[in-house]
Amino acid sequence: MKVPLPASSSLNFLAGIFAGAGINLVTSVAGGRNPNAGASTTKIFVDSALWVVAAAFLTWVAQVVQRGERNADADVARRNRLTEAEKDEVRDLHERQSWGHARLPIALTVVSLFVSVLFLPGLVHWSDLF
Amino acid sequence: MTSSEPGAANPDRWVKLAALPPDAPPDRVIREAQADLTRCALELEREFDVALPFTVRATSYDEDPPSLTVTIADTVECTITWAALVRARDKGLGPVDLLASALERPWAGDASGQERPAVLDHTWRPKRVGRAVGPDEREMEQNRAIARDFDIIHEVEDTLDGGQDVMIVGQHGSGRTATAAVAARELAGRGYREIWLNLADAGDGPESIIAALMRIPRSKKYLIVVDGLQANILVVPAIQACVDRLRRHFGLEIRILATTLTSIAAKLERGELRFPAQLITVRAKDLIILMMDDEDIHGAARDRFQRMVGNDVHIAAKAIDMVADGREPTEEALQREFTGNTTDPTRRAILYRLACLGAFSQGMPENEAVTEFGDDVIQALVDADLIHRTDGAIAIAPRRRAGLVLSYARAHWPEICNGQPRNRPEEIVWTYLRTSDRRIRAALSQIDNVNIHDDTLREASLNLLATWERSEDLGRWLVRRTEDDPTWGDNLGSGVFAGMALGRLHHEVQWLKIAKWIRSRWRYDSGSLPEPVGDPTTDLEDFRQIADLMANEDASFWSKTGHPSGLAAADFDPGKAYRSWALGLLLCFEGSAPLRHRDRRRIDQLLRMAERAAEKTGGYYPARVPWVTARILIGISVAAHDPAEHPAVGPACRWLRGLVDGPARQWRGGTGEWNSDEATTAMCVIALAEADRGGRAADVIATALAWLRSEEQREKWKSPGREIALAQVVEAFVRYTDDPVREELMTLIQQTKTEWEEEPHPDYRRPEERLRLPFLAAELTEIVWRTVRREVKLLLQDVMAEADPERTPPAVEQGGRPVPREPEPVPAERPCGLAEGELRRWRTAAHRLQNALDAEIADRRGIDVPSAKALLNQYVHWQSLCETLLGRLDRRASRETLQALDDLGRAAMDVAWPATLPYPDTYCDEEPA
Repeated sequence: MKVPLPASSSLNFLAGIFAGAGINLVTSVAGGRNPNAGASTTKIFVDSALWVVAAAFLTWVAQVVQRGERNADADVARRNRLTEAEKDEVRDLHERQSWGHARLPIALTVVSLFVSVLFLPGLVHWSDLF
Repeated sequence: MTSSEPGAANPDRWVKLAALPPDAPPDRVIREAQADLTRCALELEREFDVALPFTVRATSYDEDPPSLTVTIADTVECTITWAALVRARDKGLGPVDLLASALERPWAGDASGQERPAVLDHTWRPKRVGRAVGPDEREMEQNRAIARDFDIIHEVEDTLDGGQDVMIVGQHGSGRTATAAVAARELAGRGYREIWLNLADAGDGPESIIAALMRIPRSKKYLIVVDGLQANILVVPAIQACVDRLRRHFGLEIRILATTLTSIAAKLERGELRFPAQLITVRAKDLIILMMDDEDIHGAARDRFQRMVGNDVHIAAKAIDMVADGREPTEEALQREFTGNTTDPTRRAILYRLACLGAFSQGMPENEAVTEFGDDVIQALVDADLIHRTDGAIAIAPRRRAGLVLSYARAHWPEICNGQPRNRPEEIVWTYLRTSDRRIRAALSQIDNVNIHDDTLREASLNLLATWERSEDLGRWLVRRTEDDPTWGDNLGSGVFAGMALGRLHHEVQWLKIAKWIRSRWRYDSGSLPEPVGDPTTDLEDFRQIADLMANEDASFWSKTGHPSGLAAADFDPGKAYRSWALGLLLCFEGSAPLRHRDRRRIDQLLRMAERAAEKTGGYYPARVPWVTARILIGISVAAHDPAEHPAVGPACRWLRGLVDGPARQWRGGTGEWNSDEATTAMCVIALAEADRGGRAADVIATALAWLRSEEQREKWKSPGREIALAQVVEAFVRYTDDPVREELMTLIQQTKTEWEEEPHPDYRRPEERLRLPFLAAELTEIVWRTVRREVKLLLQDVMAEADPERTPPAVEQGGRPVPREPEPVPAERPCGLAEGELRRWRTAAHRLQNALDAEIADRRGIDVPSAKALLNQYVHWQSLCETLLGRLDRRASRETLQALDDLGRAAMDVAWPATLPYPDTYCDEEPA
């Protein structure tokens, strides 16, 4: 069973999306009064900050995965007598290792993402909860 | 198959042309020849349509020279000049043979782009065209008695019918010819018309095929049986080319069925010759078992039978006849059978002579035998089935039968083999062989098919065989290089020497390529020295270098007095010396051309130029460099019919004689390093000995040779890097002295063989580098050839001793040549296993394998991936295996070792491993098959 893991470039792309979401939130507040009445400015700032933080963590993950890819490339380039099957296996090995190293930043990303989604204005009515 | 009917107009004879007087004018010759040819064509077409009809298309009396044109099968035109017609008539070649020779001239595209043979003109040397006659009914009976393995026969037929050529291979006496004959007859039943060539007859070749096709009825398919490739392997490419042309231009459907020895077939595959055919092996043992089964020989009788008959089906067939007659087949009974218990001295003489020749698988040409002994005796022997007639030759075959007759003769016919030197077997064989280089070559290449045991063949003979093989290798190398670049890097010297060697080894096709280039590159029809056409060749560079060396020499030694020859380096003209040198080279080249391509016109031009080019002193420019004059003298002696008659020779020899200098009275090179004193002296000795046959130079030559022989000189020309000097000196010794040169010859071969087996890295700072290898090749072939001729008699003695173990060695009777009385210190090695070159190739491949394995292992260390680990283990295992095999890799390596190494290499390196590595014919740990 081989699940194709995302490459570092995709992660970077995704991080960009998250950062974009966060900045969008900020600019929506800065532009004028928020039509969404239930949201306070502070909450929106916090939410957008959380989005950016999630993006930052995802970039960290991407950097770790990228380091793994670079190592795999260097290894394969050095040994020019390897067969194609061996080269694939080497890359896989490095990939798995790097995802292993990326556990912490992944966890942080997921957490901050979860919280920032929660804090999305209008998504969860906190006033109703508390 | 048709033959000429005696009564009717014989298509094989000239009638009107033969009636002409010898001085008839050309147009009458053409007219009568045309009439004869037309009549001949009508005669041939009278009863049936022939396979290759011909018509005389046109005659041109106005052109120079007058000629007639014949169209063959309405497709190809041949032009024949009147001079060729006269030659053919004088040599006894009939019309059909003439046309066959015309069609076999080298083909080329003409002005309209069509391919046609070259004109048959006065340069053509008529050669007897052998008749392509197959076995007659009586021989077919014997063949059928031998070829009993119908599986093989059907396999042969089916393969041929399926569109592939077939080569039947086997050992001596394994029934190849018989199998081919039976298969051919079966195929005749399927519509193939048979043309039978027996290569033991020197006249059988492509012309025979064409001549046969012009006489036999047309058929849908033709089968050409080429029996005994080993007897005349040089003609095989010509036969292939001819069949190819017949298929392509005339649309004839032709299949070839060849027979030869297994070892020759292996050589064909390894060497330059390609014979694309399916190999089918016949084994004597299988046939003999079939024979014994058919005749119901079982039990103890079977064992006795097998032991006596050995591996020879012909003897087995004879023995079967005896059994059928109720007689017990013993060896003595066989011998008496084979000699017919004859008491007639002439018959005994003939049988003895043929038995000696038969030990070398040679026969005697029939016309020679008839002249010497008379036709009746020969015919009687043939009728009594004691000798065997094939297509122009008589013989006792196969070898084992000849051996039996020989030992019987020696035991029972004292008056024939009375121990006189003249009647010893090796003398008889040598008398026969020495008439032709080709025969010697054929015999020598067959010797390594003789079972040679350690104690019979002396080391000397084994060395002779080794040098012979070396010169064959050399020939192949030269052929390859010439095919790559016939101009040899646009260097006249290289081309000339390579051409001389190729001519000596009878590689005429390649010689012709070089000749075409040289002949178009140089002009010598006028002027005093030859002129290059276009830019000068690269040899001019060498002469410029010589100029520099001369300046050095002058500055170092002759600054005060000037060079003794009077020519100072400052006045030296490299261009003139270059063209002078070219004159000598061209004379040598054209003068030593193979007979077929010798161009008398060019030779005359060069000889006349040699007259004009001589300086007043008698020598040639430059006076300082005597080897230029020596080379020209050598060229004149090769090219002129009688060198002593040539006007330039006398003065040149006198001048050369007067030049000797120095305390040892040797010749000085005059150029410092280029062409040392030793080489120059050797060359001058050769020049004087060849050109000055009057003997006035004898003293000078003797002193020079003595100087060369002296200890001090021997050391000098043995040092590595001086191979050119060594070669020149060895040639001088071989030609004019009886000195044993074997050691020097082996040194020469040893020191140079690495060079031509690897890619050359020319070091142009070394003198003579450009033409070093071809020069050495030419020298070596010459030396080996002369040594072989000198020593082949000893070799024959040894081989004869092998064939007849009861005889006493004749060494005591020889006299003159010192015989080593003490036993040989080391037993001479059997010529088994790998040759030097082959071993080298194996070693190179094995080392590459080692390197590859090391690299693979190095690349995979430190990777934790399972696939890589598995491969790593694999390679480590292979690495240790490779080391073991490399340790066992030497000349005597066994079949398993070589096979294992080959498999390992292929598994590890895949396509990078050499596709065909040379396996030896016989392994040292196996019995020769």
